[in-house]
Amino acid sequence: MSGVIGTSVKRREDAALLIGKGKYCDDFTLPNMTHAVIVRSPYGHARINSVLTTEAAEHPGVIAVFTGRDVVNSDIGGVVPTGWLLPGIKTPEHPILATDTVRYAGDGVAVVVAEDRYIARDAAELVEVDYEPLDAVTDVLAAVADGAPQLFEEAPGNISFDWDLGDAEATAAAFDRAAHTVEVDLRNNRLIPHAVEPRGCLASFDDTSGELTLYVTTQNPHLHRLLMSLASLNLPEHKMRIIAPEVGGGFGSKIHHYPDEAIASFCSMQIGRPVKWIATRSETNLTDAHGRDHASHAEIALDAQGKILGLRVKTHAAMGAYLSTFAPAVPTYLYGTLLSGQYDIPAIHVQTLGVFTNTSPVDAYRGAGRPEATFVVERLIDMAADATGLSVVEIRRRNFVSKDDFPYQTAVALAYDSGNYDGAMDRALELSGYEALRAEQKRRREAGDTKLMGIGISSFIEACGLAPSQVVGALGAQAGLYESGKVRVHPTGSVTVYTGSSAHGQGHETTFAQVVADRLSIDVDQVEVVHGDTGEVPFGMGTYGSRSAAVGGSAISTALDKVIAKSRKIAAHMLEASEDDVVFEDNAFHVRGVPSKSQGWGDVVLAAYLAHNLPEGLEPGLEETSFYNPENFTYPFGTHICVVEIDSETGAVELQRYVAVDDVGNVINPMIVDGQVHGGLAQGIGQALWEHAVYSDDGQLLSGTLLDYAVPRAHNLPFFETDRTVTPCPHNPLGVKGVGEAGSIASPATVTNAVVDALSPYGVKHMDMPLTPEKIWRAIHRNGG
Amino acid sequence: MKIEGQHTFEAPRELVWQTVLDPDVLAAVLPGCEDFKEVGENEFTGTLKIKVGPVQGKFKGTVALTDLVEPSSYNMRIQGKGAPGFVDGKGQLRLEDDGGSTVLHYEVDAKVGGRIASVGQRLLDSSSKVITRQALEGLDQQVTAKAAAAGAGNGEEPPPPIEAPSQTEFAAEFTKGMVDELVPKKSRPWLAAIGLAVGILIYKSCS
Repeated sequence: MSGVIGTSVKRREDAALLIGKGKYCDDFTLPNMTHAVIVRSPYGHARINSVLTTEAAEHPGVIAVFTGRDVVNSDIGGVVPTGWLLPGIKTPEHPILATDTVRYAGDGVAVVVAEDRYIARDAAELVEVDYEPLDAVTDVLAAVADGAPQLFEEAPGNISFDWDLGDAEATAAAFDRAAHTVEVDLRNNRLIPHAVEPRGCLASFDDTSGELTLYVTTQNPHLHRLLMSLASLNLPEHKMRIIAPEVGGGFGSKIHHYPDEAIASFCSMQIGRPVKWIATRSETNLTDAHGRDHASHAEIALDAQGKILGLRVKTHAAMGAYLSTFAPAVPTYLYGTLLSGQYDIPAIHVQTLGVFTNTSPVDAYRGAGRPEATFVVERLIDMAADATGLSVVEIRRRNFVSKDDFPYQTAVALAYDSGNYDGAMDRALELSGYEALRAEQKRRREAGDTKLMGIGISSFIEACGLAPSQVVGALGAQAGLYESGKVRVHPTGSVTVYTGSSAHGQGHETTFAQVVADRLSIDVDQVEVVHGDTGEVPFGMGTYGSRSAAVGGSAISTALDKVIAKSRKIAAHMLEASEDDVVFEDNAFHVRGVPSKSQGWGDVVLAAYLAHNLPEGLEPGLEETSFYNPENFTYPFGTHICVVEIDSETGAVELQRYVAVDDVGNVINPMIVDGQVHGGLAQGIGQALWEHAVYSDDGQLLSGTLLDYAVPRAHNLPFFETDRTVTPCPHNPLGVKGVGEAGSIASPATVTNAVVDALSPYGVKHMDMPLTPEKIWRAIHRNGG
Repeated sequence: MKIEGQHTFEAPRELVWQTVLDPDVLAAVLPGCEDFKEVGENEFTGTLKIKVGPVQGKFKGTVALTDLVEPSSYNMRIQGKGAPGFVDGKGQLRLEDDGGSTVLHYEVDAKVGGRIASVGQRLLDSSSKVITRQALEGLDQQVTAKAAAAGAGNGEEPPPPIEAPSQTEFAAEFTKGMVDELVPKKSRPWLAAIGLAVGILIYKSCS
């Protein structure tokens, strides 16, 4: 139906999920199926002297036990690659099973395959590994200190890469002539993604045809096929079919190619039976790629009027024990490029060192680099307000890129295509009743209220809609980041759409159907959306980087252009009119100026398939594919404001209000967009107040369970107040920008700014997340509270 | 993880020294200890069945005593590994005369890893304290019995049979340990009763 874009169509995928009929990886059972359990290192760093498998192999019900040596002695590639290379980067090999050294607690050393998973688990305990413990290092700054334990000979000082962007000289000059400078050392806390569904896979190798079918929890089945074909398995791509069934959340953690799916595939190839591997929850915590973990020194320079002259940042970014799929891109091109924020900053220089540590690898997690950049910029802006005596609102306003200055070229490579930063901030100020909040704060402070009120503001930008392929190729991506869309119109007029953007909770089945229904003026129920299967979808790069609507949706839109163009040719032939005079409107083709002459969509589609009377040279059928390559990133932005109340006697923080004004461009389904904002906020607030993945110095993950790692619960969160401004993206056909990550990008800075604001009477200038009661209580009492 | 403390035995130092070097005694007083035997000079092997919160399993390990200064001190190295993870500890045991009694000082610095660290670390301290206390109480009985036997002028009489603490006793002790740490003294009696019940439940559900 035209006009269906912009309406809150209920998510069509939810019915099955809500009644437990969604089929996830672990719900699939194949005949003769076996179960694998991976034996993992309990040490953060150790040499493997020997792996004895005899006792495990003799355990009743065990089919086979394999070690890293067995992988090396086989024909498969046996290593997982990184998909993003930077100049001078050190990329030590990441074997799917370790052979001589383990580098983090959770590194796989052997795999047991058995008739059921309980037998496999029992037998895994019988594998005897003789480890010789080595000194470990888990802190990113400790890892680059003199005398730190070294992870790889080929990466001296544990440094994988030393990357920089921007003009160092111009930035230094800006600091030389500044009236005000502010500097801060800050940490961005390490996070564990915690998708509800743990990772898992089911590999089935057919040794007669040489074909591998792999069900796997992935956000990007084609990318998995590519990486597995090229590196970990060495199987021909056309002999591999990768299926992502229902996937229960990912937040980035299911982008990456992990050793585990290659191990299960290897086992299936060895024993000739299907092999299922499903991670336990604690295994997921140990081995999922973690997020964030930066240590930064950041400085900002301003003139006497509070106009920013320059920004300088040096960041040590933990990579963990090996380079995961997109790991090198996250603290560089998804981080350094965003350090201009919403501001007109003439000179910026950023240096990032990628550092190996004896921890789980670190890679993209909701926001991926952009929450880290926003945290740096928005903390510095608040500190600069304090230094210059300007209000946190005024300093932002003075430095925003003006609405009339787009496109705006930043000092860190990106060209912002559109924006209206004052507009979003004005709306957020209005919605929050900002002036009244400040007045209340003043009143309560003067009255000596022991409940400390804090107001936080964060104006954020992100670059998403990943990504223009030529640009990312020049920056080191080992793949393009376009998307495919295939529109198959059936003879009776209903439509199946195939997208390479593989949903795992985002609602593609609804949103993409709305795009098609809107364009063809058909009912949403006439559209089926297929994704997550390399056997059905031509190709695709997957779902991450808030790219599905902007890139995947645009691919469907351009495929629809082709479908309409072809059907118009047929309609013109049927109407005996010139093609140029035929317009498609309200589910029918009309001859311009002759209202009586028209052909319904259904008749034209049927004619395409009957092929009794087609224009000369036109092929029968109606099915078109488009590969859409975006010409730029998209740049969603917004301003968020929150109110916290801190109990000065206990240090506990209560988040009382959270106002989010986002500009994500045109909105296809407002309900789904709101849902994405809510989810992102919950995760970002979680990072700010509770979540922290903690390792001991010798490499043990101390927050390995949900008892020790605090994810937000519903009752911890206020009723979110959301609104939008709409500045359409000027360069894609739908005018959409992306919303999946916005909440998690803005909110850590919003909440931290509010807590620091509440504590400012105690002289607190900065605090690192998570802002636990203990830290806050100490900050209050250190300063005479 | 650091375990340290002291315990006073009402017995002369030589007798305590003999007792803490007797593998049969050690095997008996360590909760969950199996197959404890001397395999070399002052070197022992054994299996320790442990439960820490939801983590349970067997540790196979060795204990090596070095730098023995009779009858006052030795250093120890304890290494164990198994499905729940690993333990690698170094420590010292020291005996001091205190009038007619003997004070045993102990300290162990242990590295703990694997599932027992990532899943059980919250309960690790309390569990290790309970294991230590139960072992010391067992030793105390042994020492007291030996001292009594010696005092009666009949050194030949065997000490009473020893039993390792039962699972319920462990749960009770564990709860007591938690209460000691967490609850102010005056609220202890009724909390301890509830805690004991909960502790047994937790323990049963793990076994």
